[in-house]
Amino acid sequence: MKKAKSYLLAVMLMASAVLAGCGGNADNDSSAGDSGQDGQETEAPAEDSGSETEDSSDEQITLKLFHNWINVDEAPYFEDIAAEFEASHPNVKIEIENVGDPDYKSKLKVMLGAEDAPDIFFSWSGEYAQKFVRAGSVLDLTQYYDEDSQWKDSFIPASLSPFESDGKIYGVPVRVDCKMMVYNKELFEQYNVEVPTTWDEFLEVCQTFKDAGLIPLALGNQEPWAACHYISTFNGMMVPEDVRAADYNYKTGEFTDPGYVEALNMLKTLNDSGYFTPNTNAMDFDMARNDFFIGEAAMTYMQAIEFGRCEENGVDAGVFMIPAPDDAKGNTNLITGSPDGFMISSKCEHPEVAVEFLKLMTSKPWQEKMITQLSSPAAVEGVHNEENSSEVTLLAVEQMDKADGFVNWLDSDVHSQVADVYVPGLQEVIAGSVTPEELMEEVHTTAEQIHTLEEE
Amino acid sequence: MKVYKNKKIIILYLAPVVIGLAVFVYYPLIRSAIDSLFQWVSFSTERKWVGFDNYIQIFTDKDFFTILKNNVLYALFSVLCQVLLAMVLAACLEELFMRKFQKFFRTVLFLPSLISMSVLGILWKCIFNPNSGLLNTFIHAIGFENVTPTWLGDANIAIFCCIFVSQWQYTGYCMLLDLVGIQKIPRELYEVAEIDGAGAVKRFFYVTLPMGKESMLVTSIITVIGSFKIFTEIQVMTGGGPGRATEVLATAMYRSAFTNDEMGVASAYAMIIFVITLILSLIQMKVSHTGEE
Repeated sequence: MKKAKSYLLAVMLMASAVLAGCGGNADNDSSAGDSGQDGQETEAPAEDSGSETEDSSDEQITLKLFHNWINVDEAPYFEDIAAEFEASHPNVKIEIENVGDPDYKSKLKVMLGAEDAPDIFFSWSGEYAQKFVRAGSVLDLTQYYDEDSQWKDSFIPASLSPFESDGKIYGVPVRVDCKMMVYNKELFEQYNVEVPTTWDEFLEVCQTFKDAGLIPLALGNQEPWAACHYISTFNGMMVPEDVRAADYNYKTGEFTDPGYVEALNMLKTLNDSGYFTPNTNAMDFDMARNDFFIGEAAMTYMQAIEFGRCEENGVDAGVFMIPAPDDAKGNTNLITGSPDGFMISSKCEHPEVAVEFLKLMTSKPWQEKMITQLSSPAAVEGVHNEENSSEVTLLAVEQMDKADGFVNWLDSDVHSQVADVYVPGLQEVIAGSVTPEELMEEVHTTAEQIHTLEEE
Repeated sequence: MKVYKNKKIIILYLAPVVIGLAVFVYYPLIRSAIDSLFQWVSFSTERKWVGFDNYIQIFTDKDFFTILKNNVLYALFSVLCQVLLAMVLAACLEELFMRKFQKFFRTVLFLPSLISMSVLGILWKCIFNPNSGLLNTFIHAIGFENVTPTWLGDANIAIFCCIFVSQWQYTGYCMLLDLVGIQKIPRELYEVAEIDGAGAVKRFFYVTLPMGKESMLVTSIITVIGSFKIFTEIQVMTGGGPGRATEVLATAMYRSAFTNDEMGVASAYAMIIFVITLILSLIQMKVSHTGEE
């Protein structure tokens, strides 16, 4: 009896020790996080920890890499780079973590605030990256670019500027993405349609396919970023460039230019004339996209990083830029898209090693591999050729060269609270429950509120 | 018993639970109450004291009424289906003539609650698809060729579609709980009622309902509180859209936290959800006198 009791006691003791241990840990973690960030973490400058690693090259270094390629054909790309890097740097270990989009967007934000922030992480450019810069979560890479001008010059010039803030560069672009209208060549031949060169011709082409009982433009807008890509383009066409730049900046955003309403009206015209997939607000993006791959839809607005899927699905595809209306007041020689790249956390203890890793990723052999394995247009110059890229990708690269610059995706280029009103509002504009004027009024009000919030 | 007098042992036995509660319930609760008074983002340690501004922002948001309305609608329909309808279904299955098929219906009605809501959400999204979905194809097949509701794409209907899916999933589960409750009711009561000339309907109202009160109360607490915490269905099927038409408190909280970088507002939403569910459970406990017996 006594024995049984002492056994019971022992078990209870163990159980409570385990539980208390867990609880204690969690407590310690959070308090350490608070005090740590006030104290050492924010103070520790890059050079300090840099010199430390130089004199002890056999010190074991672990770098955490966080990216959002989860596809089975794509994720190994990063494992391969890491393997090559580890082979040439025996004291370095690269830990890779990946999460799919759109969860990546939110997980990254939380991870950057935590103690175990990734050292190297994928980021979109534009406002999404800028807010990390403002919060001081990312490392200024200007000195590394200046030290190695050959590396800096290898990039497409337009790919660095979206990562810049106050003349400093905070990111390393690895790919450039752009949006182009992809069309089914067979259908264009069958209905005797030419690639449109004006907005009116574009509408006529749409009408031809509508009359033929086909879907002119495959679009599933259940998640409204889909229509947002159209608006990114239309805003670029319709709003004078300097006005748009001022509006997209959260400090000076007004959104009162009539061009924004015209851009929304263009979207509305396409929808109300029945050119989009019917009931587009209720259609899943991928489901609607499939209509294009099976030849039920003649065109679809597609990102260059997805062009590979046309070939996979056996569609003979061509691309063109949506032509601007004649009275467009914006710059009509812009291409919608942005460079995407990697940034280094300001908490990273070995930034020079992280930069070296990114140099490997942006070296020609790995950029060429990215074209074939990730089917993404490269961010460095002179790696695309007929062997490694499809015809449509080459056309996209050529367009990007010809364009005056990028119009970044609206949802990642404006302040997130503006995007939060603007982007879901596109569904309401398409549904007709809100007029373009009303939506822009609301966006204007939100933008004003952000001025006051940020000024305080 | 000596054990009860030994203070050390009492503390030892209580420690796991107390520590667990403190770390995983009370600390986060107090922390979010404090967090809701600051303006802060997840990726920076800077925080700015804003007092009750976050709450003011929520209450003056023009969509706040829609958000609250959606939660209330959810609660209403959940009580109707998961409490009342489930009880009726359970009573039907317990009727003598249904006993033979009870196992079959029990399984059929219970099955949906075993599937993950995310999976079901995607499944129903396909069924509701206005162009190729099962539902509209069916409507067209039975002769209404010109009727093409857009379901999840229609701001007025979308929330009811989401509510329907939740009810479809959980009514069977609540029915099973009620069934267990009914089976505990002494058979004699039914026999006596039958001798007195009560039909099936009367037996339901005068025997099953009063005796099954307890289990209905349990299901009503679960469903009403659950309705104010609803998230997965909405996030998977509509993401709060079209526009903001199907936004509920939890999706609004998620949106503030992870897309708008307003962690303070998100914490305020969390506190609002907490206060609402706390009040509801207090009322329900009061009404049911739970804990007094």
